[in-house]
Amino acid sequence: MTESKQDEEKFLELLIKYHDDSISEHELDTLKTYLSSSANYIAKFNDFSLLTTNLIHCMSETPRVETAGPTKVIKYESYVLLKLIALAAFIALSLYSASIIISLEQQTESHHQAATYSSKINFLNKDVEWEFGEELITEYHETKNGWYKLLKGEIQLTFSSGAVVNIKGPSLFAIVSPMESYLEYGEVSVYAPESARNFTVKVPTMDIVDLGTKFSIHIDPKDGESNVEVTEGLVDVHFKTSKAKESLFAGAIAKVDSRGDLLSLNNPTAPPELFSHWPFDFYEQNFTPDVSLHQFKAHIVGNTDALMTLGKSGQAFNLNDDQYLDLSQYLNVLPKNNFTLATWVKNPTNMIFSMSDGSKNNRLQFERYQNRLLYGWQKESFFDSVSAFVTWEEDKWHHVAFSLSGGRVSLFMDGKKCAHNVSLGRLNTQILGPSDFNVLDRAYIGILKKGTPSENFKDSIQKLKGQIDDVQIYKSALNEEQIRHLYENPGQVLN
Amino acid sequence: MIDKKDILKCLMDDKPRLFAFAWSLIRDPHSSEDVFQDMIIKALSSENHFESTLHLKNWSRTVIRNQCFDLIKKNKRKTHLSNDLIDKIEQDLDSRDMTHEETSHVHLSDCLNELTEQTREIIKLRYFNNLQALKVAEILDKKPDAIYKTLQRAYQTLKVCLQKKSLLANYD
Repeated sequence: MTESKQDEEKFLELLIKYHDDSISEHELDTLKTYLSSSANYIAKFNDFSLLTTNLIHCMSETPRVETAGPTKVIKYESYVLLKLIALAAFIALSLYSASIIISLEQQTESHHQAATYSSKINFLNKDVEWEFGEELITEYHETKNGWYKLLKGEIQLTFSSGAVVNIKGPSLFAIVSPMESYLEYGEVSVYAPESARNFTVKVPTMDIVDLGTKFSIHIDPKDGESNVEVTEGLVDVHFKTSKAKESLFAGAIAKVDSRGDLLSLNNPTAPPELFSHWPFDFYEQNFTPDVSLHQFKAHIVGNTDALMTLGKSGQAFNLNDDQYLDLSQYLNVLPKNNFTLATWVKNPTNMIFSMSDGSKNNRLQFERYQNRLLYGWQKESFFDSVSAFVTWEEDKWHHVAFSLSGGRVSLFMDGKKCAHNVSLGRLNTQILGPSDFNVLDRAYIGILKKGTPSENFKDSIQKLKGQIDDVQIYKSALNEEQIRHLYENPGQVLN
Repeated sequence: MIDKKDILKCLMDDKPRLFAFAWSLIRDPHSSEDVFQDMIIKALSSENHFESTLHLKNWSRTVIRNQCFDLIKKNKRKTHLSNDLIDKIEQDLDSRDMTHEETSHVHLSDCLNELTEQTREIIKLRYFNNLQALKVAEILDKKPDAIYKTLQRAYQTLKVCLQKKSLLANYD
């Protein structure tokens, strides 16, 4: 068969469909004909397989140890573990493995090279046993960056950042830098003083960032299940597969399976941290005051002639016409990761709160959508959302809220959860919050602007067209109990 | 006789080839990883049987192939290649010099940056998230044909980019 450009394109199309498992039997016959006709097509077939497998690897995160360390052979048990961990974790591990498996000769050579030290041993208990070669490790001596396999016993390391790490055998771990270590399996506990804030323990399924606290992690070498416990302070857990982040507070216990899925989480709630509170009881010169300590007064845009109305608590704003509130000047200080907005609305038609760059391509929105309460987001290509069917009664004040934390969102209506801790939208994409955007330049109450109005783009502006009272924003994700308190005590705040 | 350490090193060095081989037969990255890992476990539990690395290489390919066939049967897939073609694919993979694989990985990351964000998103959904093109089309509100075309163009762009970066050894 002569290879024309057309043939090449056809062949590539068939290849893509073959790997997509959407090739028809007829198309498969054509593909087979190509492959049988010339070794060149076989080579192209393999080019494609190699490049696409490389792509899969490229798109996963790959932790690296800066300096090649010693040099242990991961044994059979490790590969039983490997079998059980998820694709992303495995890719990271397998890339590691290439650096781990170094011959004894290379190891000897490495002793002659300049080693990097990030920590020293504080103590080793008497029954410490290493996989091999670590007889050189003694108390009060610096430990080289690299991999260590502790078979039994317990050691304590002090990193030059000030972080103190206890490791119990059996553990396979790596010292990466003064601010980073890696645990393949086993048990470590970490104390990070202020100098070691952001000290990170990476494990196959997640990165655990210590924000000045004490925590421990245990990874079962058999099934790869991880158990994270926070004793004091706060840690951030970044899940590698889902890319979600979870903030764990003192007393929190999280169990994560070998694929990186959260099995259970007992996370004491963060203390509520009020960011702003606009009661809408009065306004002056197109500004309404924020009665929180921050005093972020909100700018009223539009006609104020019939703005005031009787509210759920005191007065409220009637945004029935073209009015809305502009919070854009506070964008830089609005909460990013943990965020709750709670408010009262009556007869809302659509938009309660929004953040955007003025186009439809980058936006967050909280709204009434027909008979639902909805939190939605769009970043570049498509819009996704989490929503719950609720009952909107005419002429009745409803308390509505959303809370964001760790890549999850909860929706509340009249003091009850209606969507709880959801991590994916209806299109299976990750929940996005303010921290996922760096282009947002406007934040509004009562409107979303997502483009210039035109004949073909009639919903470029979405408005509340209803009444609103007592908007409160918190720098933490409130739980149902706290939201219920706000619902049962209109006008009050949580402190 | 080769020992455990050498078995592991040999198989890990051979991973790009073996993974690509498994992926081209069962067309599912997760199952390909499983097949590869199962093979390693088997290899480590029967180390005394390998007299040489050549013996191990031949054994690993047979195990991978058989496991892939089992999965194809289990999943009742009708569309698969003939043994004759699989032999040729295996031979071609074996004839390749894979020493630049790691470098190509780095270059591929650079080349990915030359694609548009949307194309990268499509690649991510298709290959990393392992969604079929039909599902990707549904998510992105596009026609399946547009996804196939984008993947085709992306592949060609990446290939040219890698060639430019003097990685012809692996991809030409």
